[in-house]
Amino acid sequence: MRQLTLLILVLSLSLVSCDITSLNENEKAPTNVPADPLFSSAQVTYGNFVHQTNVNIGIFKLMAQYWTTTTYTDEPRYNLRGRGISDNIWDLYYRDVLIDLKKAANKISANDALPAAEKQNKLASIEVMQTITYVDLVNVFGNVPYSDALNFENPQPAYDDAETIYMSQLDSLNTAISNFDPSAAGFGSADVYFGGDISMWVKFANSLKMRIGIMLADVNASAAETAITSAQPNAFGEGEAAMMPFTSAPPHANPNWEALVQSGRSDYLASAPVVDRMNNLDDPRRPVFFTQLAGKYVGAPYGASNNFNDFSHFSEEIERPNRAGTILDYAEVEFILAEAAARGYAVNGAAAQHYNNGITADMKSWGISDAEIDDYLAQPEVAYAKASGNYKEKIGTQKWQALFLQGLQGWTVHRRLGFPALQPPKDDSGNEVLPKVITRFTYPISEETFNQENYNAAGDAIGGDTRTTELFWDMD
Amino acid sequence: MNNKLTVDASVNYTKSDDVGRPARGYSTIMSEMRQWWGTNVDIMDQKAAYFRANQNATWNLTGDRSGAFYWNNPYFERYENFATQSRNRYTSYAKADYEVADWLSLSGQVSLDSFNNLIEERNAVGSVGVSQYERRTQDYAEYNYKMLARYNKQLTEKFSIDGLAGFNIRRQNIQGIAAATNGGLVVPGLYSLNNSVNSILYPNETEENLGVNGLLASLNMNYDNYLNIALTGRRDQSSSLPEDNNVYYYPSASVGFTFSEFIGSNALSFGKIRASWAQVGNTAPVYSLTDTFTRRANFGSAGLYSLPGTKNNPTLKPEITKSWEVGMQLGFINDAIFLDATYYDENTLNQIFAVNISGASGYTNKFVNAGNVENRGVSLGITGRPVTTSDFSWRVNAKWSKNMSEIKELAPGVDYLEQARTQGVSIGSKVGDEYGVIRGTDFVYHEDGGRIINPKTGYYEISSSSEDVIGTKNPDWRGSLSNQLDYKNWSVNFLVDVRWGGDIFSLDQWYGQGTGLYPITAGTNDLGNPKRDPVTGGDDSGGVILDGVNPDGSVNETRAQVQNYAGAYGWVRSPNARYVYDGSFVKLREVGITYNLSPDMLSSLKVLNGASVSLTGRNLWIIHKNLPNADPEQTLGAGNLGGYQGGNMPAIRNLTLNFQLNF
Repeated sequence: MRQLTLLILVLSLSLVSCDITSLNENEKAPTNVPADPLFSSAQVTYGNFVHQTNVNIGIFKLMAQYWTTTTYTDEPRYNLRGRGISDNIWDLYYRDVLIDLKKAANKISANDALPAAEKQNKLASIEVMQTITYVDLVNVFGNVPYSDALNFENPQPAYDDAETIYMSQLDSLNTAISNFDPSAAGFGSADVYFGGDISMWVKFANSLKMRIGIMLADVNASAAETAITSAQPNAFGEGEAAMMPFTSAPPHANPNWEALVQSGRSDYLASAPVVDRMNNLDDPRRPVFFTQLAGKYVGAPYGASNNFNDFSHFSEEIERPNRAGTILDYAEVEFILAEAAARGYAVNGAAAQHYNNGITADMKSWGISDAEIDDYLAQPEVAYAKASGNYKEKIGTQKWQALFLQGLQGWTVHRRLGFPALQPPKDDSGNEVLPKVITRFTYPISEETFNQENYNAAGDAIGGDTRTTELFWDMD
Repeated sequence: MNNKLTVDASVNYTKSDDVGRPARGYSTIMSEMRQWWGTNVDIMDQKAAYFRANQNATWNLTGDRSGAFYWNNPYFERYENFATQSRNRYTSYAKADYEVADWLSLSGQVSLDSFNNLIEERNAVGSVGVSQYERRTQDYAEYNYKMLARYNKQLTEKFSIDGLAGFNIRRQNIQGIAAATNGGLVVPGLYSLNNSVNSILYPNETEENLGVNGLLASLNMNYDNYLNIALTGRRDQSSSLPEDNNVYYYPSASVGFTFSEFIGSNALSFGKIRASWAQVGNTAPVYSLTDTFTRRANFGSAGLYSLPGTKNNPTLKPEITKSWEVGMQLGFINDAIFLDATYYDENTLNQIFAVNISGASGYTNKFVNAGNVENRGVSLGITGRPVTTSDFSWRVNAKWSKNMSEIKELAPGVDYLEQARTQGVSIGSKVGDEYGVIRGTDFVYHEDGGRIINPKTGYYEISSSSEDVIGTKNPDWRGSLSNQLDYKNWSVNFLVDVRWGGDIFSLDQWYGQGTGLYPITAGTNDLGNPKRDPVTGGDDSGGVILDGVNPDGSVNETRAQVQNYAGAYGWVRSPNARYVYDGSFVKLREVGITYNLSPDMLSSLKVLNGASVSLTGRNLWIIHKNLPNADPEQTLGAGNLGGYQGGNMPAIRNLTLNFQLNF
């Protein structure tokens, strides 16, 4: 009896003090991973998002009026609340791209085993990705959290001024450009866009710098000129681009294929704003983009309820699952130079030359023959000297055309230059949904709910959290 | 075994297989029928169409008739896209009891509760969406090792004590694998992972382990049956909390005093007051302390890892709930009338939540101990026996309860605790709110209280904020009334259940009124014309004049169209508030009739001691409700949700015939 009591006592005491915390180690998920797969993940998420067509998050092709819808007209009519579109976009940029880039940068900085040049290359590549992401965030929303962002200990970050974010990232981008060393290694095969080719990163960074520069043209002309002229010698050349190399099988196939083919749905149509313009100019890209309806290319009215079978659909080329998605290409560089020259910046080459180069580069990327390109350029409505309107209209219209499928960039061209002259959609009673094309996305509902003070302050700072408030580079 | 040691063991095995468990939620047959159904479709035609050739002959084809557009033929859905679940469950224990003395015994027990589960889901070739096969296995095992000493001693003639002391060790292990085909099925009708068009993605493997070591003791003191004091204590140590803060205590004390022993009165036949105080602890979910990375599908040869959206917290503390309760029981006239009243007040401190934070922090949620959630309430019960004769008795039992909650404190940087968000409506609480406030877009109100309508369109103005309070999900009070009548061998009982208050946002009405499914969208308007006719200026006009005022306060007279989904009814032109309904109900919960065979009837059948037959009906009648076309108890999601309804299965009314034979 006594022995039994003793045994029980000993047993209970020993069990009380035994180590049970080790049970709480998750043996199926790593607590530590190298920096490379975090960088690759951010690249994949960003590249996929540029072309994302899912109606809950990827509506930029609609905002640019390249595409329109059949049954579901809420999104082309700028209804952002119903699906929490702003929340989804915001979370993707911060949670699925920026925090992984930051984590990768921290790991790389702390890794003393890395050779110095490789470390610089990797950190500079990360800086380029951070820049392109923050510039997109600002171009969608305006003021956004930046200096306070990406810190879980600050769950309610303050918003920074949009222009300040631009200038700060421009600075960081300049530093990154100077830090690249093409003779040393970078991310190697973990680099989804360039396979580790640092010289391409240098060109990508410079081309991005030019994109930022031209955004500043109406705000800070001297900063714009400096950025563009200093980047011109090292930007993308003919046939060069930053592309997202989608695969032929899910889950990394082109989102256009997912939306147009895999889903089995008939949600999207070629829109009249783009088809009509292309028809007016006999654009040779039409057969590569669209299908014909009784021998003609017919665009659906933007934002209307459209019958799928009454309008042109998208070509097999656009529906290809492994069609690479453009992030930033040489054609865009040429259009930036054209506009810079038209504004009198000290760039090499005249506006007309760059304008032609831009159109040619884009057409070539779609496989258009030299002869057809020459015919197109010769038309009086296309030729730079003869086309109607000022440089904003000429360059704006052709640049928007060349950015077809890059929804955010196309929408931004219209907002910044006012051309092409797109019209806001109408509701079923024939009333315009907004007085002009939407100028920005409203802040996420989650910001209003979980970060209310800063959300209110930001709304006040930008002139109201509405869909018609103009962003700092949008001067009409 | 011998007269001091008894040994007991038991094993229980349950096997269940089910096919075609109905899904709830947005993209299911129920939401199809309650929100999007084409009312000109004959469901029996759909049945015949399916059984003709086992194809997805749906009412909802694509424009070129090449296949299903948004919804499958419901019979195809049920017979081809079904889920199966099979589960084996074992519960077993072995225990030994040893009588040390007549006042002290020891027992030791080992028990195991385990199951393994396989769920398979199918989306057939020819369905809407990509064809797919998905399988999920789950293996669960919980071991408990318990050792207790029990004592029971009459110390003096009137004073006795009893209680126990011991420990319990609990170990829980859950393992699972989930895998699915990628990009479609090659061979139709073959549901196997290797029938995938593309290589399958990495299966999702999980393993969760939880251990809790507990020490427990209790002391019950009883004086002359009228005074009772009970003390208990428990100390738990949990593996899912940080090593330096993983212990929490559960003390409790209660006292009960039957004061009616001192009042010799026939009128007051029983009176007791009781009070208790208790503290209960709780541990964190497994793996909420350390961050891990999520693996994504490779991009070519590049592996991808990403941080998940929830930030874990290595400094979590145990949750503690402190509560106290007072109660009184009174019996009158030989307990013919019996009253039971309780008041309770509990505060949960450091409740462990993965709260929502700004996504700009890089995470959308993080684990914190959230300040202070209070629940207080009252419950009352009255039992009466108004009539008792030798042949007939009537017993009544009425209950009433009210719970009030308040979020007294959250965590630094956390202003709002969200429980659920769907279709733009959020259910959660800010500091100062009760638990479960419903927020969304609201009407815009005139200073005199009317709902403002745009005089040009005839539609309601919608508030610019998605954060307006539009309801609360918890009821004001609950009650029930049951009656039992016994006459000789017959017994009849019926139970009425009441819930008063508690709002529900109806997704079925939100969409279904826009798609023209519900009666309010059809019929004639105030002019006697069909509502769905076009709006004209004249007497032949269709459309409706919605109830509200223009911005200047005058009564709205503008007609709004009811021709399509973007009209007077439905989600496009309405604030969320329009489809929040009061979820009160009064239900006839149960009615039963029982016939007992008396002993003399059975005396001839020597083998039977007793027998009875009873017929019981449950969920028979919703006597009153405000939520249209749905049962207010059928809300979406288990447990915490409520406040939101959409695509629900109807409640089941059932009748049971029961024979009971005692041998």
